[in-house]
Amino acid sequence: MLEVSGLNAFYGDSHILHGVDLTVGSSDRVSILGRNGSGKTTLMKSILNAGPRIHGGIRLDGTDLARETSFRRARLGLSLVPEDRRIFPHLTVTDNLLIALAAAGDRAGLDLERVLDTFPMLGPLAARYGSQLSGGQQQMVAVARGVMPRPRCLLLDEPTEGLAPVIVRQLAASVVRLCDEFKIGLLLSEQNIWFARFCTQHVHIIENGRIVFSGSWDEFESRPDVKHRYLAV
Amino acid sequence: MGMQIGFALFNGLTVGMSIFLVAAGITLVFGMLKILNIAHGSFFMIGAYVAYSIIGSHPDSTLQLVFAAILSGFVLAGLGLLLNASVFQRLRNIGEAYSLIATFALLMICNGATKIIWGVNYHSVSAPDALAGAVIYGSFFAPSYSLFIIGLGVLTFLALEIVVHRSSVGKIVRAIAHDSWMANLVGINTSRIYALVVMAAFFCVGMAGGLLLPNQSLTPLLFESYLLQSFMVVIIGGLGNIRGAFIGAIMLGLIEGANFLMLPGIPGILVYVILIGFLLWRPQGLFPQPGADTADRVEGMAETEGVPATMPPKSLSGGIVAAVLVVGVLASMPFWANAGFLFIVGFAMVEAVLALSWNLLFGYAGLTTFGHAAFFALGAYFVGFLLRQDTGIPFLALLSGSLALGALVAFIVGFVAIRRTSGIALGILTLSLGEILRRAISYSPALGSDDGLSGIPRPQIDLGPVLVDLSSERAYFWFLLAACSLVALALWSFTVGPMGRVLIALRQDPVRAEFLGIDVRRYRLLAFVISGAVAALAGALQAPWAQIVTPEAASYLHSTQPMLNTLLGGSGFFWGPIVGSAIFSGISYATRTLAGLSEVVSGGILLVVVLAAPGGVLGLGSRFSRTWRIGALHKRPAVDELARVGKQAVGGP
Repeated sequence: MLEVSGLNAFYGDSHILHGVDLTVGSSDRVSILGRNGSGKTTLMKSILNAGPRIHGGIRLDGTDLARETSFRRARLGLSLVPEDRRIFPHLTVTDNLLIALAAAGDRAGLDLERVLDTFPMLGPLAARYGSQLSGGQQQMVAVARGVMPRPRCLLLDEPTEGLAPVIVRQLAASVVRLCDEFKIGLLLSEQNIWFARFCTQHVHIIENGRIVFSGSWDEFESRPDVKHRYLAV
Repeated sequence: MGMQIGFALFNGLTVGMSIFLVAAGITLVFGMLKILNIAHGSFFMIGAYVAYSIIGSHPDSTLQLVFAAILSGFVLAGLGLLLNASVFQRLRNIGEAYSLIATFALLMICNGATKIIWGVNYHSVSAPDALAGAVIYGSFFAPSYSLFIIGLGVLTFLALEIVVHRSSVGKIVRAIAHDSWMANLVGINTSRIYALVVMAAFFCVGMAGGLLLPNQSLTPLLFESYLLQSFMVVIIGGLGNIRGAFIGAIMLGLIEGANFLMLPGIPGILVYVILIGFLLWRPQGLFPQPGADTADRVEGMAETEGVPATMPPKSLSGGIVAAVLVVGVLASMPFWANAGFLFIVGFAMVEAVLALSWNLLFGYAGLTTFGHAAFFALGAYFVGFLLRQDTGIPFLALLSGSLALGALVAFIVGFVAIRRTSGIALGILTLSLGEILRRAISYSPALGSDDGLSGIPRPQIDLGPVLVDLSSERAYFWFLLAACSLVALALWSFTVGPMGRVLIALRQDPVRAEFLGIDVRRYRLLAFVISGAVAALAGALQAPWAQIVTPEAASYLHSTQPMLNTLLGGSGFFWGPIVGSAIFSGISYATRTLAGLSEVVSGGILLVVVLAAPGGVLGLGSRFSRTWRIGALHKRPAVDELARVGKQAVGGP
């Protein structure tokens, strides 16, 4: 479904990603693990053309996205939940979710009530403004907003950063439930291995802008050297 | 008396609503694009001229007036669409200071184009018959046209209020205003919405131009009549807030009414006094929060970020050779240049000194002021007045006096202003002070009122054994050259000295400078005092050269001259303001006989420089050389990229 091939990304003179290849099959769920500064966020942004200057191929369901702007990519079915959440502070939670239906384009988005049901925490907050939410609540809203247009592939950038363990568990359950129920593919960048394993089937490890390991979680487990070399602090 | 008060308040309300009609567009554009559009008054004027072209001097009916206004709104909306694609879109990526300059360039182009298309003659348009009368209520009567304006103001406010705060389009607009990056990622075509908002703003201002056409003298100076007041309304209300602008407009109108009752001798001055008080009390405006995140905005503008940092000079010898060469050529000019050209060059030298003093604030201390001409006028009037009185005070003492006067006033102003305000608030505060001075002068008979002081004699300098007579043009030119060179040299040695280095440091990062133990406020005040003193000296030097001083010396248009010169030449370079002054004077000399065209050309050049080379003319040169050295720099959006490289290059000590 989503194919990234030979992707190079630059910030100014800095060459951040070096020929990244990556595939997310239809309704597949894939993790990208890596240390700080390894290029996870740049990869996510590059797929949406939302920041770095990029060279390389990005295809969604066979359509070449190379020339598409961010909002077009969003409408074609890619939905990025950025690591800093970026909730619209002067809109209510409901409006934050409804505004994302712009990305649904001609397709039908999801029903607001059903999405809110998936995040038990959000129900009572629906009328609150974005600026009145805690970090965990904001992350829930950000993910909910991300799935509203029923994207082909949801891109979650380090969703667990700064969240309390109990919230992380709730979030994991909600993410898996949504992806299963609505057949949404997932590309997840994480440092929290528990969360990544709970949510996804495949794992890639990124180091200095290169994919250095790809495989299933079992293969990952069978290679303690990989974990030690690329993820241990 | 009660009648009179009622009438003044009613008039004030009319004025307030007129201002709101104009200011609505400024608020929309700022709230969305974060661009303070200085050219807005000019677009208002163009709207008025377009409507005038449609209906002529005597509209038959109210309906015809409204129809012309709407048509004019559409014409302006089209213009807005064009400008959005060619100018505003690019301005979103460069610093605030540059968007101010770019919109000022638009102002010049619009005003010039207006003169070319519609001529400089005065037109007046009468209100249609239905609106010419008055509605009478017992002993109180209200002109129908005023009621019409008030009604339209309220209507416009309600319409905008509903669209921005209640409708789904309004939610999208507010989402983009806050975070356009994220809005794009949720699938909103932000560029299209930007274009729509700009068109809406231009539609509003075009319509306002048509509706306010009656009872207005239609000349190419119309752009000024609501410009400053619209800005005040927008500042009082909190930038980008429609509700705030509405309340601000009513307040402003009522203050105008009170001014009429209390100070009929000096119209319009109370507004500025109250605005200054307001800025010192609440620099962020009445409603800093909802809609647009203006609170962060005002804070963020405290430093002139985004602008390439001032470079420490690199090669000394090259600079010396260039300086000696320039001074040599200038010194030879009285032998070969004609009188008119010589006169312009003399002015350019004074303007260069004024621009150098302004850049001490902008490029070094990180303060943007819009009222620098006030100091200039202070010095010019001080020397002009005393020379005319034939007091016998030696000329050099007069010059020192102007220096001291400028320093003293700058100290008083700076002491209060720098403590309380920064960014745009500081800019508007200084602008208001300049306007107060200009109005005070133009209503003082002792200072020649609007006509200014003319026939200022050129002095003699008594150096004991030698008596230097400066009364001839040639002699005073040489004196001017010597004086300006000396001032420039003194400023240069100040900026390369230890104080200059501290200023550069706190300009780049005031917070870190503070942590390093630098008293940021004290250094800024010091820069403010020096800058004010030098500006006053520039005025003092110019008075005997022009032999006339008018209140225009203190006007905000004159205040923008040093800004333009500095940015044209390159604010990141000590010599930038001089280069800019030279180029500007050259352009205005070359186009001096063509009414209107000169403004279009100067404005056009300025716009191109800002959009293509935000580092100014000097910045262009040094960037090319740097790009050359770095080599393989992929394809890139030039502006931010090069600015970043620029920062890296100066990053080290």
